[in-house]
Amino acid sequence: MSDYRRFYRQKSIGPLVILFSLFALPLALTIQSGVWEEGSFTLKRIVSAILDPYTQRILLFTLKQAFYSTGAALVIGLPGAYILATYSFRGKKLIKALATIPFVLPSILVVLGFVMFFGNSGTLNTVLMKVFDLDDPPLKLLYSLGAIILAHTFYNFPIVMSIVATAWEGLDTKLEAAAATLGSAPRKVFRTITLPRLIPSIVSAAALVFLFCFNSFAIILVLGGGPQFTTLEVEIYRQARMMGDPSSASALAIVSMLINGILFLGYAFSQRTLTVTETVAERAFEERKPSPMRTFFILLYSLFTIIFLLGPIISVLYRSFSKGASRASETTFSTTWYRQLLGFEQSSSHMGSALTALINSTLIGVAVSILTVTLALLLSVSIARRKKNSSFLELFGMLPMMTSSVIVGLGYVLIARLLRPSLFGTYLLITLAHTVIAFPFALRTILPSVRSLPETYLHASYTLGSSPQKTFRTVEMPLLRRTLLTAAVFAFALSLGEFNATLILSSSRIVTLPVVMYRLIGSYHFQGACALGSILIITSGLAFFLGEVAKGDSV
Amino acid sequence: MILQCSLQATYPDFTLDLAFTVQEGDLVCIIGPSGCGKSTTLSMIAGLIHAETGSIILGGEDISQKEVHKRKIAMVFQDYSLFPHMNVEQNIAYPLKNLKLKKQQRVQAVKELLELVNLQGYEKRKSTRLSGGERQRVALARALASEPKILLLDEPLSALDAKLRTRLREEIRRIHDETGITTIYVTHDQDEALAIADQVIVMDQGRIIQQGTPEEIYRTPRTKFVATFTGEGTILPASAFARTLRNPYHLEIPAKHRDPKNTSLFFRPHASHIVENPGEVRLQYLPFLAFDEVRVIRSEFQGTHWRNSCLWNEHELLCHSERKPKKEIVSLHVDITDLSYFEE
Repeated sequence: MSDYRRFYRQKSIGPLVILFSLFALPLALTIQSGVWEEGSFTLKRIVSAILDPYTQRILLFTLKQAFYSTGAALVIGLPGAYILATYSFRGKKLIKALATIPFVLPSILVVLGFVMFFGNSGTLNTVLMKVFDLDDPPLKLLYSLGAIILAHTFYNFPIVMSIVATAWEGLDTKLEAAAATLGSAPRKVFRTITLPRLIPSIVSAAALVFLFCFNSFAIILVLGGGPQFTTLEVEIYRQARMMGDPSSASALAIVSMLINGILFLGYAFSQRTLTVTETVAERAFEERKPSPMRTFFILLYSLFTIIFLLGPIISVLYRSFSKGASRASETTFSTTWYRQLLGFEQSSSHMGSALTALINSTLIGVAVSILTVTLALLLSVSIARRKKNSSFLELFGMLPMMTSSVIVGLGYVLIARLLRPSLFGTYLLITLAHTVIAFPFALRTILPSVRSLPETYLHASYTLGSSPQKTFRTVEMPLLRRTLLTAAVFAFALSLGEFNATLILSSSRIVTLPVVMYRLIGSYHFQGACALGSILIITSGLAFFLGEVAKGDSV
Repeated sequence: MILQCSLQATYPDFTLDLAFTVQEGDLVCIIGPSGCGKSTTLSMIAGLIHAETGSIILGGEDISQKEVHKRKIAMVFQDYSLFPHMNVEQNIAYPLKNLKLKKQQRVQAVKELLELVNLQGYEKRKSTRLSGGERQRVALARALASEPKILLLDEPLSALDAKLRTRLREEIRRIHDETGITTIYVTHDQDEALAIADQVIVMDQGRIIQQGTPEEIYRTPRTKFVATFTGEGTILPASAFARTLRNPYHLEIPAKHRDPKNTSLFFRPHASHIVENPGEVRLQYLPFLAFDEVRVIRSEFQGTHWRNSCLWNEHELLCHSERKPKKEIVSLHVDITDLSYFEE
């Protein structure tokens, strides 16, 4: 019996070694660079980083914007959670599906969509100008704290909505009924019975959103538009790339990791209390029919969600097919940007590298998805078939999630400084960095499926004369095919949209889709950026679709 | 306070249409197979769901349009629905706060209620860490704390094992007697209902089939459904009466035995007596039915008695006896006072 356990245990060695060198080594380099000066250990850099008023201002701003963004995401997301959990109405499925968009949308695309939708010549302003016959755009949102918070809200309120709604739907409604029979009016029932049981999920959602906003990079970099609105992550990038001072960047990275660690612990703790909930979720009583006021409210909220979530995406798609001056009213339909993108037409500097970027990103994406899925599969079967230390291994596999992608990128910057790689070598480093970033997501997709495969299938195969190796190939792998495909598409989409680590690693010669998009946005060539963005939207859409399909018929 | 209910509602799978009265201080059991509408009826009285038409008159006042929390009708749910984020004391104090009791009084009231349900000292226990029986008692104490006019119990014992069920149903009856509160108790277990109820209401497919004391329901079921739902017995065509009647003292036979509307007759297994020797004469003055040439097919020992399945003219008869029948062919005697009739 222990034969096959040993077989699976051995399977984990390769991935563990590779993961360790891909993740832990760059991280160790970062830490070493932060605390090592002229051959000896020192906390001077970290201390001076913490004491530096400039850093303090940045840290304060980082916390402030994350705090406001989280607050705004809660204010907008919680009513949605209430609606989704309480009423059934047409379009509820659509809203639930739309709420998963932020999970698959690359951040550079969020930025672009935001500019295209809320920008001075964006869709919203164009529509408002037409409707109210105005000469100037009424909403001037870009490049301010408000823009950052608005973009974070757009990106994060669906997370609040879906996490809290899921918890809410899982609550046993009989408790509310019991409270009513004990003499509590509806408001009081909500305050004393429903709300206290929802708190863990609200805390959990808030911690997650805060974590995302704290580590937000692309949104701050583009929408912040200057040193005035710099966060810790952006400062790490600035120190490492622009100032050429990776040691200071490393010191900041250590500070950032400490704060992240605390936030992550808070999140993990709220997750733990979240699992201790009611098991019975039988809807014993009649569905509540909303009053006309409520119906109006539901309609308004649904409309708002759809516009807020789909508007930016549709704006990007629309703009990629338009040509002309900046005003939408004067534009015409055109496929110019796609022809330039594919190299059929001569184009200006950044657009000229678009085709190379597309090819590079695709190749990197394919490599990342093969590497990630192979590693995640081997580690998953090893974790699932193991009796001891399985949760420790799982935690190890999830570790890269706890460090921001900017910091992963910084680690690879330090490696690049040691190795001084060629252009091809730099692309290789980018591929490895993407693998580290994509790995936890692949593990989270594959591991549950492996766990749900009954071990009796393996036992049956062994008794029928197959070796563990053959059983793995002929029984387990085919059963996991769908999950592996989902994980591969996810990894591909993640790599294709990966911006943070790539940007910090890239010199001017490095081109990938998001990086070229960033350069196009930087030079106000929005239509070109939209054409590239549309390709990202389509791959993200595919990843999203496959994810939904896999969710629909999971074993 | 007298409760008079008249409730009608249509659902995709069945129609509910019933009317009944509950006397003050009674413990009424509603029994019926699952899906017969008994829990729905309870939810309607509590106000958790609404009837399409009808009225719920409690002490002269129609409460059917009142909101749940203003009805003063407490309910113990099947899975108890203790609030998981509160301990035992907080759970029981929850309705006391709605009654605007002061802290001091609340503590005292919780203590008394815990004594009533035999859980002294359980105040600080977590409600999620209690056993099924303890949860049940806490749920009961919490319901009583709201000083309800009526207490509703929705299959309160169905989640517990058989031994605990018997003990707790005695407990519920004791608590009912001590508090004197009008109680409606829904169960699908006929033994439970017969054991503790003052009145039993038998329901099937959204309708009331029979209401009466447990003895009436058991001894003289009005329909085949009531007869078989409340226990075992023998059903024969009504014509068997004339064929087997013995009336040694030529007494007058009550009219119900001759009613032409009757199509079936019914008796319980312990109403029939086995006579093993044809010549044996039982001391019997009253008229009785005698089934001769009965073949004993199978005898099962039940502890207090033997349960015998017999065959008489291709009809199956069920009969209890104190000892195992020695002979294979016997006679069965049934007093006519133990007979009931159906029109189906």
